[in-house]
Amino acid sequence: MIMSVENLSMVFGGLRAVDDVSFHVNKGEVVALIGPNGAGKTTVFNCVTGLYVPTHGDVFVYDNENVTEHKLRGMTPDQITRARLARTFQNIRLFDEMTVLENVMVGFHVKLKSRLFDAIIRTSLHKKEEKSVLADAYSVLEYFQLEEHANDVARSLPYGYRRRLEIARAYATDPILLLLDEPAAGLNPSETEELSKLIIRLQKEITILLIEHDMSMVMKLADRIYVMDHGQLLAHGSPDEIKNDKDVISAYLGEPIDA
Amino acid sequence: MSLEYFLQVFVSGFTRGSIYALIALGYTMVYGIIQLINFAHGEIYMIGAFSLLILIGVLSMLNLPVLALILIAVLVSILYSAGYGFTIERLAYRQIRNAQRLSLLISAIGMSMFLQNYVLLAQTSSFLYFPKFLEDIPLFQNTNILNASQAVIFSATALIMILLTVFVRYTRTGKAMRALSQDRTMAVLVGVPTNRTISITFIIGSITAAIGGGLVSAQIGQIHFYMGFIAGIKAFVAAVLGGIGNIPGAVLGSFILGLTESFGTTLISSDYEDVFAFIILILILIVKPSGLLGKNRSEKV
Repeated sequence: MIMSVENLSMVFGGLRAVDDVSFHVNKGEVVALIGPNGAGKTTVFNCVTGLYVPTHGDVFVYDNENVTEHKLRGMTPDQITRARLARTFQNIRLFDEMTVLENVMVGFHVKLKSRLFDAIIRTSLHKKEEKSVLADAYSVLEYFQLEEHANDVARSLPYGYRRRLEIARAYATDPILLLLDEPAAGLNPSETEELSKLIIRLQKEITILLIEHDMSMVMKLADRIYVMDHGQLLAHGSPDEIKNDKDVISAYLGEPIDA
Repeated sequence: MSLEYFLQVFVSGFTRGSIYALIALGYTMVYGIIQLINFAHGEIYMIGAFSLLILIGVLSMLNLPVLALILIAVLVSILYSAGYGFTIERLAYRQIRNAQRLSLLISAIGMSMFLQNYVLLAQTSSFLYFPKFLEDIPLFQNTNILNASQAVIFSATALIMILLTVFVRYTRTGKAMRALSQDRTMAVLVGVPTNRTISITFIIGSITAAIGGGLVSAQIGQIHFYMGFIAGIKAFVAAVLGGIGNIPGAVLGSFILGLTESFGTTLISSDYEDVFAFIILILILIVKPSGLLGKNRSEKV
């Protein structure tokens, strides 16, 4: 197990956006979180990544490589990033005025050890780190096939590339678990196809939790699916099980009208 | 107006502009990163000048060579002012950083008043004589166009601009600053150390303001606890004119303001010296509120 969400609730005023949701993600899996709009999927992501402090419940992250366990409640978003969780957003959030390379380099901040003081007196640790960051950033760009655009300003990239860059920047923070919020939104079919290939490639190194509306992509990629509706967990199972689940079908299509 | 006279006025406007630029940098960098108009920033400029004068006084008892004395005094006063910038952020802004912007603004105004009155009480309400290290010695024979003090101010300003550009563009902390100013949430999510980066921004802004304070005092030859207020307001106008949050904009705005004041006082009347800045402010707010180089940033939802 790499992450477990336990009895998570998030209440905004009178609205229970997330209502007692529990689920887990195993190492190496692709897990999909699906559900109609407003079901509370992104709120779950925001709770997990520390943007919201959940009203109830907890999230645990297990890093087997470093044999650490983190309870995310009370941790700030940057501490959670250091606990090796990374995410992307529904509406792409790049540093638009910075180059593609710089966007990725910012992601490497997490791993760097040298301090400002090292930078001022240019210690060997600092120089070594700066050099390796540049090399590592280029290799990330290659991995995401963005190296040709390394020195372009992020805002000038086509939409599909921007998506990929956002994932690349998250990847640069060295996550064990990557949370993708609707990565296929706004992509054309061939871009979606490429994205699927990328996710399959990423899965070999990183566990992935994704929110997605593109059902053919979800059915193809996901090992397990959780379905949310009205803030609650409605169903859970393999893609085949979910496809044939009555509750899920009615949540998406509405109750059948009959007498 | 003769050409020589024109050039004199031009150079003097450029000198003013340099000083405004040194102060405006701090305003615009802090605004860029936490969307706060740091009204206490002008006070750092004033504290830079006061601490320099005090240090010169103390060090002159040690029988040091003049150059060493000035160098040490300048360095220490810069560090001291940077310490003020750092502390102001820690005490007055950090705790309420995520509160409404109005709270931050009021805290900044309070900080400004506090520092003015603190210097008033701890020092004096009257003008103090400041040693004129920067003499108005003409650099060229037969003409008055450029003098030594102006040349020093230009070179210092140019050097700082270059260093700052390199810093913001190429260093890791510079990248972190740009990332924070573009999208703070996202910067935090990719692991940018927010508090440290914001502290560094305040420190850098304070350093440039303190240098500005020292240069002006050494040129004019007197200081006063209230000197930071009007200089701060004008640098703020310059930052808004260029597009607040934009570093090249602040420099451009400062030079435009310096030249306007210089030509305005010459051609119209020196009684209106302080009016031009506000006319510019009103005009820019009506015509292009985002400033000359600023972009219209829509609020993120």
